[in-house]
Amino acid sequence: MFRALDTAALGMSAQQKSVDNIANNLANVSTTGFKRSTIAFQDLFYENLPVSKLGASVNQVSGDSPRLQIGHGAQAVSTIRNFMQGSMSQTGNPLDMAISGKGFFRIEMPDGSIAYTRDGNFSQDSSGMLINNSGLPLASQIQIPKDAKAIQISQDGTVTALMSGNNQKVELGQIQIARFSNPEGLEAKGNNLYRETEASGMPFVDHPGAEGFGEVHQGFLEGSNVDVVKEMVDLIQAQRAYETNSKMVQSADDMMSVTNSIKR
Amino acid sequence: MIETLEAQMRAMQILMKMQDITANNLANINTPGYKSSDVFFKMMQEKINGKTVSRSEPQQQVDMTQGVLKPTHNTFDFGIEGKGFFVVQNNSGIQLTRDGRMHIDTNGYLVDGNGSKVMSDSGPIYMPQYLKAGDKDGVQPKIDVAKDGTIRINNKVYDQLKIVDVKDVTKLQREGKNYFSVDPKLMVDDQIGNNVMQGYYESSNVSSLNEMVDMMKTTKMFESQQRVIQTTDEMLGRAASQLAKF
Repeated sequence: MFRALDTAALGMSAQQKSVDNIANNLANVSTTGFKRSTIAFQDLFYENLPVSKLGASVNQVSGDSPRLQIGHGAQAVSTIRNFMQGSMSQTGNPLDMAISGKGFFRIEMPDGSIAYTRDGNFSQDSSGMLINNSGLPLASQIQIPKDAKAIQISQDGTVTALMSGNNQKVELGQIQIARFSNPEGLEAKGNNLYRETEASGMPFVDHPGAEGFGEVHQGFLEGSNVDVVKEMVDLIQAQRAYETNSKMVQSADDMMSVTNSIKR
Repeated sequence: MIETLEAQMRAMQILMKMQDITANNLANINTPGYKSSDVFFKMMQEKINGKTVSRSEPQQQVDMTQGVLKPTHNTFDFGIEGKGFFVVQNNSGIQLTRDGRMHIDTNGYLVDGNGSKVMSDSGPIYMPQYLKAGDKDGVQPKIDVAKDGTIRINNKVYDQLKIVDVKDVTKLQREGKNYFSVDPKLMVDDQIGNNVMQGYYESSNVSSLNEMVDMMKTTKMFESQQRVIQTTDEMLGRAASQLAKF
């Protein structure tokens, strides 16, 4: 009956989504390789109300004068993920890797498809295969021999093992990483994994160190790129916007009660 | 007397519409590139049955105050400093927007968040080089956008973002999804008077202070108008009951 009420309610629910999203960013403030996201808002469609045209008016409104355009509120349309580099922290674990640049590690999912991640916290399974935290293997399969004494990963992703018997270096393979023309379009699947989408475009696969891919750093992990101060400021904004919209709900309610009391 | 009631009712209806507009501004307080809507009144006079009646008609215009430019450091986020608009093309034709969060789509076109192609003077901006980046012998191109909208790929001039000013902002039509449309005759190319800022996007220019004051004002005006109607009603009632005593 009174549009302001619905508009303000839509405004509140849009801000609510923003608060939810900030909560998720803050919850992941120390998640390895986590990338913060923001919500994109848009205004909803408009209704054109013609302002009545007058017959013989002194100050006449012409046919193309502005109509009253009344909008229907705001909506949260998408999340935009920010792939800015997170800070690097040294772990000393030889199988930990961090990418400085735009690349992603490629993880093979149980169904054979490829998922992408910035989380380089790898370990080896019983057969020596490199796996991530969830036990999924790296797509460029690297198997570490049982009698390897030390593992070295160079910046271009080449993995070499120092054998304990004869102190010889054996090349185990090269880790390939992927990059996207529009990483913002990747779909987050949880567990620090992303999937390619139509928006992200096809992945380009190459070795680390190739132009635009970034290098691999052994013994480092990339921290979350959530900036707590920024999130707090965003939270204040979202919360205040929520509050203002709730005031509008109150006002609309007041006006409706006033309308009802015209007739005593 | 009935005429008076009619006018008073109309005033209340207009106040409700004003509240709707304030509600929409408030709902879009965090919508990038959103421009708030101003309502003002125009005095009109007309002759009805030989009597000159004056009344006010609500009019609306887009408040083009600059929104705050927020830094993102993304290559394809653009904010405009000035009164211009980006020009995009989609199924509904040419539209204008201040929301400059763009990216390259899978076909190599520069598109906005809704997938509409961003225009240069000669047509949609097409940058397939950016997609090829990362091929075996491909080089990741460096994309710089200067303040006049000139796009440079690896320091070579490639294209230029089309930025237009609108001669008469009162003619701007809101289309939703952060778009505006206007008669093409009113668009003037202006890359000089507007600064394109790469790595920024413009936030909404809604001032919560102004809108809250508007909201309170409208509510109070609505209440007083209701009192006026009640008084008129009372007078009519009196007239009916007192006169009937004769």
